[in-house]
Amino acid sequence: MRAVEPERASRLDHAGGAHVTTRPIVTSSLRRAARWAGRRGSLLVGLGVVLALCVVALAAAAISPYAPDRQNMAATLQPPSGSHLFGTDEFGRDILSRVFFGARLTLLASGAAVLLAVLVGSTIGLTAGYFGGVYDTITGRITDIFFAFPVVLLGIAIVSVLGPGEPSVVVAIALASLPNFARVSRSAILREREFEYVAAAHAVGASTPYIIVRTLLPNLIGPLTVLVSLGFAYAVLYEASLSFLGLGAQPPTPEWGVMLSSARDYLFQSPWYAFFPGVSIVVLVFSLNLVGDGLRELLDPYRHNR
Amino acid sequence: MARYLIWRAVSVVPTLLGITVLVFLVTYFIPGDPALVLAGAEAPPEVVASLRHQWGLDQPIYVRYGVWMANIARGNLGESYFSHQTVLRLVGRAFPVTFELALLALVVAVAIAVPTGIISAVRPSSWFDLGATAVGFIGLSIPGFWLGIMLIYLFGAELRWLPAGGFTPLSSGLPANMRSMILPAIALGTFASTQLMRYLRAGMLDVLNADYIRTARAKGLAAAMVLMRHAMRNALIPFMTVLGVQMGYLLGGTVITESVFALPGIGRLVLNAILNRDYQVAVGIILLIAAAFVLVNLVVDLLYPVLDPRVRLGQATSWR
Repeated sequence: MRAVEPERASRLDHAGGAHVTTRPIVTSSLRRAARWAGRRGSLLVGLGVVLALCVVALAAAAISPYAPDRQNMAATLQPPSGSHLFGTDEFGRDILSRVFFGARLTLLASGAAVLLAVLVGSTIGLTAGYFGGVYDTITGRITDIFFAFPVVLLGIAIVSVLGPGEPSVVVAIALASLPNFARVSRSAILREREFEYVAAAHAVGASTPYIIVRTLLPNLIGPLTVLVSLGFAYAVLYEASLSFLGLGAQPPTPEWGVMLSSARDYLFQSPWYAFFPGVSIVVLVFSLNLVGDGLRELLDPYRHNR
Repeated sequence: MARYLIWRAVSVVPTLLGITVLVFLVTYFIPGDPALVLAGAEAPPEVVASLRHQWGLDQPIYVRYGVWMANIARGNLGESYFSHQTVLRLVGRAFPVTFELALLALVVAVAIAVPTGIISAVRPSSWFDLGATAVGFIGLSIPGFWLGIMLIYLFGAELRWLPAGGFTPLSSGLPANMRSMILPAIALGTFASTQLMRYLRAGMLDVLNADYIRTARAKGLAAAMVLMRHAMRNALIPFMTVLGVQMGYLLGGTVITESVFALPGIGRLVLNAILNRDYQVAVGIILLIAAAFVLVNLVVDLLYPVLDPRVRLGQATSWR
């Protein structure tokens, strides 16, 4: 994983550096064009979709054709139609409107979890990497312990203390993602610490907090931004999964995981009920992954593979 | 070698202890007084107090942790509030289902990841590679539980090839058992396969550009031989690490998959326990699964020297 990155290796390939390529040049430049467009384009497309979903979440009340909790027992489990683009659920509520409002909770909860994880995680990683010694060992052990809990189990453990609900879900996802942020910031600090600019800062009498925050932290922004967008993607998956299991938001809250959990009971009569909330999750996660991958290409000079 | 094995085995002890502390803290902070719960709300305070004393609930926290640990050491993980069966017995009954599910999911994941990863690495930037990367990328974005629901709809409702859920034990014959397990295994294994594929592809690319591979090719070894004997062995090392981590995700993923497909495994046991507030069962299982995850990773680490004799033994770091 260390020496040659796949993409870089293939670039060598095309330049005729390491290997002699026998493939026709036209195809190869076509492929290269496809790859290039894939990279730059995917970042833009990903960003566009994520932003669009944020707008949908913010403007849910304005753009939803119906109130998300408006029941109509005369029109339950309707297939998609002109008046209900995504159909209706078991109480005759408009699924499209509920998907719009669901984006709110998902984005808010996953965003909060990632923010918490990056703040606490990178603080631990930064200080552990900078100070080393016993502190490093202890924090390393503690993150190892959290690493040993699959996120669903962390969720269950936290729900047993706090009870089911979105706060439990946020804490569980934050705790599960925290080790990753800690690990990446720590390894970045270990590398940066050796550079002369840090010694120079010491020499001119800068304080330790100043060195950490003002000279070291800026070098972490790249890797952390990448990690945040990829972590965001995971957080959305986890948030939906935990809500689906009944550990997070509870019905009748419009939330994608909760909707899927109810939709399961009507799967054979009205499959679209389970289809649309699921597709919304996939679209959001996919776009976040696109952004993360694209940012990695742009920002991270060290090209972490995680 | 022996020193490495022992050092690595000993190094999981603090992690395991940390896990017990964490899980104990969870039990400690669970709201509600167990004595009050068991004595009943109308019980006189003296009775509750004597129950508290009897169970050591009036002891300081570290004493309670000690007692709790002593119980665990004796294999006593507590019992269900409702069925009054011991946690170990409940887990023992559910374990084979979960084990089979995790194993089959792993088989699915490896069966998808290994051929795709190798072909992608041998032909980097080919249409196959680009396609596999794209499909893998989409696979990475699909929640396992939704994939499960869609598979149930497709194969259970539309095509009617497979049952829509429920479990048929192995004792009813392998074919019937497989029919109930194949969809859950696919739903659970797909996500893991995308990760494994990425790592195998990257690892293979790394190795295939190495000098010794060029030498092996130059001396006229068959391409398949170079790939399997020379390249695979080194590419497998990072792959194994990811495999260990994925095992942990699979263990966690069984909770979701078992819930979607109504399989009577550990995952559904722990989920139902928490939703019914049967805390002893929930906490006992959390402890067992976390410990299992640590041990799986230990086994993977212990396999390193077997896969890679060059591994630097005894290298001590506090962080993974």
